[in-house]
Amino acid sequence: MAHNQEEAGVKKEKKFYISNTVTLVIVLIAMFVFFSLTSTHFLSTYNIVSMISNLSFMGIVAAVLTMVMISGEIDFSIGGNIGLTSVVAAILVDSGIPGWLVLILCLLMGCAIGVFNGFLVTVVGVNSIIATVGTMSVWRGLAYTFSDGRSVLAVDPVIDFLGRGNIVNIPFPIILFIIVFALCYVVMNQSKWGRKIYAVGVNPMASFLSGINVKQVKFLTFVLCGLAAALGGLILTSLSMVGMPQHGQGLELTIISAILLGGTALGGGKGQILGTLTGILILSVLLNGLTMLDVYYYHIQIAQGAVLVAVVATYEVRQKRLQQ
Amino acid sequence: MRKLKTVLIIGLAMVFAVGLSMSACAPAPEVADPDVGVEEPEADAYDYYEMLNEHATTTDDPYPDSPAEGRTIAYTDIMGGIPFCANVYGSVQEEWAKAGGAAEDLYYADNQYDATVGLQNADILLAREPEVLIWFQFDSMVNSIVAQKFSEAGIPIIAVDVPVPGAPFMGVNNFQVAYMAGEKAIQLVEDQGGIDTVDNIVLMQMPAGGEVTMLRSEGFYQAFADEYGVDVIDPMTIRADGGAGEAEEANAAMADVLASIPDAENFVLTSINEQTMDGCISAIQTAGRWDPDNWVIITQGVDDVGQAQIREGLTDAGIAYFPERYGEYLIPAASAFLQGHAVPPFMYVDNEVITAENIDEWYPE
Repeated sequence: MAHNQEEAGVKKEKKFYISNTVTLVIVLIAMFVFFSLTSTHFLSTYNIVSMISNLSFMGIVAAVLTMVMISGEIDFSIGGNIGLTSVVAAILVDSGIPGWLVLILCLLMGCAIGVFNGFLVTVVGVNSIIATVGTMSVWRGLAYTFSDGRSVLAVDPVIDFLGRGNIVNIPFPIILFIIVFALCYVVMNQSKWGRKIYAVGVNPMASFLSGINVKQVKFLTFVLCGLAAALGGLILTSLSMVGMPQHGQGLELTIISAILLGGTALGGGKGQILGTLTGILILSVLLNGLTMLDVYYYHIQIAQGAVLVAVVATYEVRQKRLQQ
Repeated sequence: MRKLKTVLIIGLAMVFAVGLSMSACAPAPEVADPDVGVEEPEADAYDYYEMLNEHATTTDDPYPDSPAEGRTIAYTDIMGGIPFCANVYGSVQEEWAKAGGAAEDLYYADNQYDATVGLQNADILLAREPEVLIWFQFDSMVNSIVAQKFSEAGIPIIAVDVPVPGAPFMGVNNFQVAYMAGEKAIQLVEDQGGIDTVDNIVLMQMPAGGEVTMLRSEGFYQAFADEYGVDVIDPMTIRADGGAGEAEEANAAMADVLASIPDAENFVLTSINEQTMDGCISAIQTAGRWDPDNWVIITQGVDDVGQAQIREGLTDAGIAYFPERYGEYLIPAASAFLQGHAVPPFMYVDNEVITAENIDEWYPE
């Protein structure tokens, strides 16, 4: 009898259980409805397309950084990487190097940055927060050094296309954004490597004992993160037509906020690519919609922070209830 | 699973290949030329603007014929939340109301000293379709893409303090105001015994603000270099990164500068705005090296903070930008655009050197 009651209780829990990602999607839809009703221009095609186009470079980095965070590490150097890539790309374009070669060189540089971060964390054993906060300053400082603190114009057909081109009327950054998210989703949900990342994040020691090369898994996520940040930097350079050492400054906190909003745990082992996608959309819609309503930026920051705290607190409360 | 991954990777490669080949065929985009759009006007072409400008500067009455009634314009802040910007925006709001514009028809966005935010704001404002854009953003190169987008949409731009290609410019000449500050500092240095008595010239800069912002201190250096020669000035000049225009980072930077020159006693100091100067002065006092007689301090802007600094004897002088008067130029210019009239390519605010002696004349308490 007791067993039946318990079973019934479990069934009841399941019946009313809504996942964190679904909760976020509901929040996102509610925000869309609210801003559509309060601003006549919010739902215009131009606004929606430009909003997604502008968030694409952040989304690409966020998708891959989610993998790093699920593995139990973090990469704060993404903003510095974006700034450095932006400056290097613009300088190379300015010196007459073909755009396609600049693209390859910058992506390779992004990989090299990821390799360096991964080396510091997995081989030397430096805590990833300390290592990447340090390298964040190094990449940013190099960006200022290479550019002498100046903006550099970056006009080249290939680079221009990355951020401002279209394929069948769809902006190319949006296509890249969708592809990167789809790839990350497949990797994290359908592949062995994705399961290894989750396992490493939940319990590195148990993963090691069960034959997973923990260092290799983490190292590769850092390399991919460096690559994604470099791609983000190239898109941002294209969107602004300028290589700037300031590009990406403070972006690491926005991206990490979106990832946390999406339900990824700081301690690793937990998180969803779709959650990150929804998190980045929520922050962008909030910024866009409130700007449409002429709200001051610092009030928007309050709103973004409040949403982050409220949603993450809701996760925790629900988690505790489920455990009870 | 392996097949799915292979298909996805091939798909990605194809999109890249198609994209790049398409881009290679596409013509290179045109970078907006600063001279395009600024046509040589007839002698009386600016009569309408000049009439409204004179009206705005001389009376608080509503503009004749309410040129902004039922019209929409957009205004962006370079960095909301600091007194200078609050004064500029307040002035724009006040003049917009005098021109007959409704508060809800004055769209607002804050560029936050951030090109990325600026680009997002440009797109948001394009979606709202204002009739004129007043654009206040720190990087002149990023302004090229903004100019291109708004030009395609047929929306005229008025640039504030930082040039936008093809758009009329309103504000200060950053190099000129810095040079003015330098000349005032030289005068004070001479009054105190000459350049030989100065140990160091400290330029608290803001590289993150881009090239135009850097001119606010480099012009100061240039005035000294022109007066005394590079050989004399270069060795004593210290350039420090004062952060993003706020007191906290400037405070830390100034503390580092002071620590690096423990024996120096007499200084000349300038910074890009009065918030950073607040941080610098605080660091000097904390280090126990504050003696007003040993410091020649000149600030830029003379906003509410700057006025207080001059009155309390913390700074020797400031170059006034009169942000509270920006609207008297911007809204007449916007109104001229709205009514189909020409706008002058340059609208400079007259700057003044404000000291303790003349501050009450310009800013009565």
